[in-house]
Amino acid sequence: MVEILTVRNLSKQFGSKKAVDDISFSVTRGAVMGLLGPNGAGKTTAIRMIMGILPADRGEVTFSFNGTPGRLDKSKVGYLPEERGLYYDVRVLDNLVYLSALKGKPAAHARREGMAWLKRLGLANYAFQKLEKLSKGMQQKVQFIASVLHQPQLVLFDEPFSGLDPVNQDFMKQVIRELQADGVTILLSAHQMHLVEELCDSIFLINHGREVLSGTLQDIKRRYKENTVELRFSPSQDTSFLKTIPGMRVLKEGPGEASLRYGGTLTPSELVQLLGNRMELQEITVAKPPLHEIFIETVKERGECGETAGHAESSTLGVC
Amino acid sequence: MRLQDTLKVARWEFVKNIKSPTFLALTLAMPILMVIGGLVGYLGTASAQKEAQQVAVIDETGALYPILKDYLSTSPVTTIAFAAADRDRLSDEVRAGTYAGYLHITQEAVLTGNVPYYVKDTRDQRAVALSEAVRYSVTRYRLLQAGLSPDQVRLVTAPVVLQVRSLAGEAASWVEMLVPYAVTLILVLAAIFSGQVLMYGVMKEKRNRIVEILLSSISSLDLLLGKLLGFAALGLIQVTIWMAVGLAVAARFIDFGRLSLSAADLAPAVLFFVGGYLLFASLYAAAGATMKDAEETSQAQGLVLIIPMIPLFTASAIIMAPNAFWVRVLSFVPPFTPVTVLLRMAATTLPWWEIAAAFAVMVLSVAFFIIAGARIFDRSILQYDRTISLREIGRMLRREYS
Repeated sequence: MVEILTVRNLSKQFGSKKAVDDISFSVTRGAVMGLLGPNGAGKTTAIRMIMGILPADRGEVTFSFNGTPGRLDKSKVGYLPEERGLYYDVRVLDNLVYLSALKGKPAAHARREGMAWLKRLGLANYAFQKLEKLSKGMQQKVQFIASVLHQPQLVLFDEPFSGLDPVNQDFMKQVIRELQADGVTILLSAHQMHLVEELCDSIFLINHGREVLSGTLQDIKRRYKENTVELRFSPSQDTSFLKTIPGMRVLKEGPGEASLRYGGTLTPSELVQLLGNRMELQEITVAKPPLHEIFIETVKERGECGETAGHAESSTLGVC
Repeated sequence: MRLQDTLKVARWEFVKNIKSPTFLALTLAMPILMVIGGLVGYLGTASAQKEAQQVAVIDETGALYPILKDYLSTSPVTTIAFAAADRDRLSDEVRAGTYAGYLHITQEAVLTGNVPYYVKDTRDQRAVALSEAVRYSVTRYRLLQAGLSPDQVRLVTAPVVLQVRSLAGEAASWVEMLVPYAVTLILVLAAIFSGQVLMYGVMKEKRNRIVEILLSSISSLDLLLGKLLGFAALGLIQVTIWMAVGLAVAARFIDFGRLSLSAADLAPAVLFFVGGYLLFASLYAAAGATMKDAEETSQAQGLVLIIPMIPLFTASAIIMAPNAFWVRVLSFVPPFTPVTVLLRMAATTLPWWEIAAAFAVMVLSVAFFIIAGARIFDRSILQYDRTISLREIGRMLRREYS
């Protein structure tokens, strides 16, 4: 596996606040890597340092576009910043052609490819309109096109789904998958973990600028010792025994259903058998918890304060 | 630094801004306003001088009135003589508008030189038309009374002009004075107008967040240089339009065929114009990067807008004493160098070494301001929601801030 981007011991401090604290990771060519963490975790600062927009206090970032490690070649990298921005008083296609020209692409190529992308994202009719005439979601799509139009080898998407409605979030995920299928390497940052965990081949979770977890999604889940257990049963069932099972925690219990967390020594099949012997079950699910719960539990175990935002987006993380 | 990237930015800025309403308004409206203002002033003065008016004259000397009448015979002012007893009636007639006013010439007035002219409204500018006529007539009357013959009087009253010539015998060239002075004014106007467009453009890019995208493709130095070159080209076009309109209008009053404008006359002024323009533009761009929005221009950084104007405030002192010690010092203080040197060029012939030294200071300061500007630009431009303090700017320049 060839690494296209390697980050070693990267650190950045603003005043007394350590925004990024000694993080190291690498991205394999053709892979999608998620840089995940709550708001203010240091994701954007890390990405800006990778893009050379912010100087690092310490650490090293190396790229390997043609097999030889070297410095950043901006023409080979695409970037969708968290702070979206284009020329609002300029026509959509002119925006795209200029930004592509700065990446070294000839105007004719950018115009042709730009039109193709606009068509693909349903914006062909707006190509010659000023950007300010477009809705916010449409502008975001134009911004997305600007980051990939020059056919980069590596793309950094900083919070690519924020501001998009669920339909467009799904659409954007599909486009990212297509980019990956075309061989583009992707590093994306997000705080909505449920949106990206299915997209990513590997994940790097940070909090307060420090690494919390990293690896493939499967590895992270395998390493996490607890399972979630969801039960459905007749409301008349006695469930008081559940609390007596070593390693079992009851998270939520209602008439005919219970959500549990199991961290004991039994395997999932042994646990299913045990519960089946003690009560009449209508439905049972034993699975590793979602990534955001693993993140929160890990942060709590380390004594760092982590919490879920707990409303509409249950997997949106916040810190206290 | 990549020249290619700089030129791409320059081209973009040029094409985008040449179509902008602000630039078009400033470029086209300014000469139109100047021409309209000039024409109104000229026509107003001309019409006041050409307006026919009747003036009553009470001449107690008995001999001055014919001289005055003769002098005014080719002017639109007609005179009618009255006796001293008619004063009260004349006051009524002036009040009624029959006469523009009445002159009362007495022996005492001739002796003291204070000739009263009574009008309905003392702010009436038509009185100007009488001034020279009265001065001439009283002088001629005095000389005739002193016993001089008419030929002697003509000789005495013939105009005297001090002709300033160089040691080589050449007459003073007002072109030599006019070119640097006109270039100074145009430089200050162009720098302020297009500099403001540049400054607000940088602020807008910061507010629109586009700048982060740009910096992900090119360096801050290339971005800043590209902007400066783009705006320098815009400024050049603006100035060309202003000058073309100015010369076209001036050609109606001045015979340009008699002027000999050599490259040597123009070259120093043009060099200081270009250098000065780049210097002010780099200052404005850097200031724009430190500000959050247009309202912030009223704060400390906004004061950079008036830097080009500062030497103009002392322009008359600089022209009166172009080689005074403080003026020489001001010539080597970078932000003031171009305007001060141009004003001095208008007032005197500067030694070549002084022009060269000032030019060197200006080139170095342009390089310094561009590099410092890029550093401030680089560090400030991502601080979207606030204005950078002067202290922070100092730390940025000392590389203590990131």
